[in-house]
Amino acid sequence: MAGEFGNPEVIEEEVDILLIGGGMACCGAGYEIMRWIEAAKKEGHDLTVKLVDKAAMDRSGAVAQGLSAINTYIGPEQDPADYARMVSNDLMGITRDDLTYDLGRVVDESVHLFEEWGLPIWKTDENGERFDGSKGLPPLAEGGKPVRSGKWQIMINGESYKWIVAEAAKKALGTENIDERIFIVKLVNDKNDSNRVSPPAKTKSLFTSSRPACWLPVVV
Amino acid sequence: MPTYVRTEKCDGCKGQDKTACMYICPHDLMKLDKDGTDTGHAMKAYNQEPEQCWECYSCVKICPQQAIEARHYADIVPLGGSVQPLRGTDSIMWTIKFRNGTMKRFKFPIRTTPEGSIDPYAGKPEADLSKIDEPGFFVSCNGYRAGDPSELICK
Repeated sequence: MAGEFGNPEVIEEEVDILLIGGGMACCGAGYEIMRWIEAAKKEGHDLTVKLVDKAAMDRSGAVAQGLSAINTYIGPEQDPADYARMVSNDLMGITRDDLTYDLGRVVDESVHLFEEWGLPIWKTDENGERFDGSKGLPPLAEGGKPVRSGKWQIMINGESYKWIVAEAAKKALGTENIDERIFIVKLVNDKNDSNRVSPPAKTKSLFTSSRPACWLPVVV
Repeated sequence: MPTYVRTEKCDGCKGQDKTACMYICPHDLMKLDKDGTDTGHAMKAYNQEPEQCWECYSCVKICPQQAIEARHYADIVPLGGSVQPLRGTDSIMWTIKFRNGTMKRFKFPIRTTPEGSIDPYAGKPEADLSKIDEPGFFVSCNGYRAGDPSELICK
């Protein structure tokens, strides 16, 4: 098996939206985009989407083996502007405050979703005692108080953090829209502007099907 | 040799074409030796390139027979020590053996919902296409904060 490339079959596929990678970013993008695709379908626009990951989504990306904490959770007592100020202070003012502010506005939403999907988050009860995520204290969305490590970080039992998010993304996208073990090897640049990936209306992707090593030169 | 398969425990994932460890390894290192020519053990998995293994434990955790173990480099786990997880459906238990015989076990929860039970859009509003150009995500009622922009330093 090793060392033979042979004459692989070349398959050409056209999709409207190509999500490259199966880490947290694309799982989130896939979750968000499917709802919009459903809405677009109701108005008569049929959009196709595909997610490609070079490994298996369950343990893919930076969060693969899990985390012990989520670095940013604003919580009801703080304001996204506090967060933007902290980031600006930390990076000596060389920041895009509008982007960090926007991040601060939506991050709590994501954390509530993770907890709903099954991520155990440590909680403090009224007496200040700490409990790990499996002890059944109220979820953050219902006012549960997280265990903080500093002003922004919350502690979690995150060994399966990626597993849980990948499962949600797989269910949202549908496994027929996901291809694992595919490498993106090339993005083709725009003919006129070498700083752009060429943007025709549709995305075409070519890939060879000599599994287990699949190559995906992407003509975007 | 980072991860290795105990051939007496491995069952080749019951004769399927792709074993669980083959599926999950991010580096494509695990391989099923179908006829035994590579390792002498037919229908068992093995780590085909241990120098490339970065000991992420994905294979160790996913093996349904707990047949894979990791032998770390001596700076972390000297000879005689071992670190072995046992991952269940809602918790994971780590068994740490020191080389003087001490053994410690740590159990942590990993999940509060059953595996496969996630309903990603349950109870969430549908996306409103007219709002597609506005900031925020389709589920803008689950903790989305309007915030107070007057508090920002740089406007």
